[in-house]
Amino acid sequence: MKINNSNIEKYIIEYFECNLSPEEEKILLDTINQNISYKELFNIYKSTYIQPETVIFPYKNNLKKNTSDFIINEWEDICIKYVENVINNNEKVILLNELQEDEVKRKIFEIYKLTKLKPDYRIEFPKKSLLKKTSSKIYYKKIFWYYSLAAAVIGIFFVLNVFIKNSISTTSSYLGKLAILKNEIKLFKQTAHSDKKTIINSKSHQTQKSPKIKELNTNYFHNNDTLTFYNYYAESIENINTENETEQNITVYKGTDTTYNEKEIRELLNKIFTENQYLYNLTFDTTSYFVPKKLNLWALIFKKGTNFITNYTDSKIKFTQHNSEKYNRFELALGNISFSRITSK
Amino acid sequence: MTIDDFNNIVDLYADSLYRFILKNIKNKEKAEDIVQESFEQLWKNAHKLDVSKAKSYLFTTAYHKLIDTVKKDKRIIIGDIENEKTVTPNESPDLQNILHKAIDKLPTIQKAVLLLRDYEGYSYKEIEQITGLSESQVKVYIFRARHFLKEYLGKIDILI
Repeated sequence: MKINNSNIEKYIIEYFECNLSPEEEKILLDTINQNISYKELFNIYKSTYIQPETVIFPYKNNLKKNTSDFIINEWEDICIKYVENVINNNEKVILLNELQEDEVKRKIFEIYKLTKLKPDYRIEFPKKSLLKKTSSKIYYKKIFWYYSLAAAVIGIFFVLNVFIKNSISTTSSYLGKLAILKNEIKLFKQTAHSDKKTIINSKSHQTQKSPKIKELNTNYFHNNDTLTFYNYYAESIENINTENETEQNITVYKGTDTTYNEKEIRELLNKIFTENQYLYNLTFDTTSYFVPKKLNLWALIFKKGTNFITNYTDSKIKFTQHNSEKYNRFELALGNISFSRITSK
Repeated sequence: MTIDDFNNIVDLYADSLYRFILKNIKNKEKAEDIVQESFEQLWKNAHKLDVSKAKSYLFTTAYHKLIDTVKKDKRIIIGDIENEKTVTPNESPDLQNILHKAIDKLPTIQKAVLLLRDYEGYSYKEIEQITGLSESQVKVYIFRARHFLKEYLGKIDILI
């Protein structure tokens, strides 16, 4: 590299542009130092390069967002992790070391431990008993409604069935048209057939249970049915002569189609009436009926007869008589189901 | 879930649920309402809920009812730490009282997640399921709440 008047400016510019090697820079600077005119020229070029100024914006801090709300240092992070029980082993080591060496950090740690809340067990819910459920009806609300609907449909069907079959009936002129009773009597009859010795007095008979009536009865009255009791029939009220009868003196007429002898019938009637302190007069007649002649004794016949059969068969049928000024209502009930007829006085 | 199961759940969780709600809203009647409504909702869904999920279901239901209530009730004021006097633990012998005062200054969600964490011992994951927040959000809220409580309990230079 040879520096002369024709190329000195070129090398000075290259120098400031940092394009020279260290060796070339050394040769250039040595040459300039030996020549005053070259040095002046170098200083002129040097002044043409602008140096950056350090300008500071005075409100820089005001522009920054306040992040102090959740800037925590490493120590606080470890303290919180300890309280939260999510601290790892390395952090535990740091924690133990710092607690021994640094009083300030130990104070911070103690305060963080205080931030762990404890439930106030004095606070109790005052209406706890109101929350509790006492009936499965609520829990099985939907099921309950389904069953209710089904029960309602069955109930309506049942009631309609009963009343349709009785709809032809006017004010009843006949009493005692109960299929349940009839079936029970049939049962009694079957028992009597199987044991000809005695119907009533045998204790073994009294304790013997008949087949369940549910299997036999039809659970409703048939219009114009007659009460069948050893083939003794209830007669229409209009034909009954009520003279000479009292509540303790009942005349019972034999029907026309009996296959039983008088002894058997008397034993049966003894059981029904004598044990209930009634006197009865059994009359055999070709047109006779197993009825009292006096109207208000009908109920007694049914009541005592029903109670006897109920006791004998354990059928749970109950007879009830309801009286008003104009009507008598006779009701036979099995559980919550009852059948009744009204008779005019 | 049977009636006995449900009644057992009432015995087990009614008090803790009530405490949780009452600590969040300083209103007994509203807290009682929320507890009752939560249990009624549990009962309505009892046929499809397992007993083991009952507690979580109750707290989830109650939490959302709580948030709804807070949104409706403008009387519940979130405290501003900058305007509050800083107290030191030595100012009162009952630190829990001071702490509970500090809790009342917390934003609603921070307070709720912190109570779930400390009162019921729920994990971050469980609190995530109850609140619908992400697990990392839950963690941040709890860390912030603890930092706030620490600041409330006393600045370090005062203690020293």
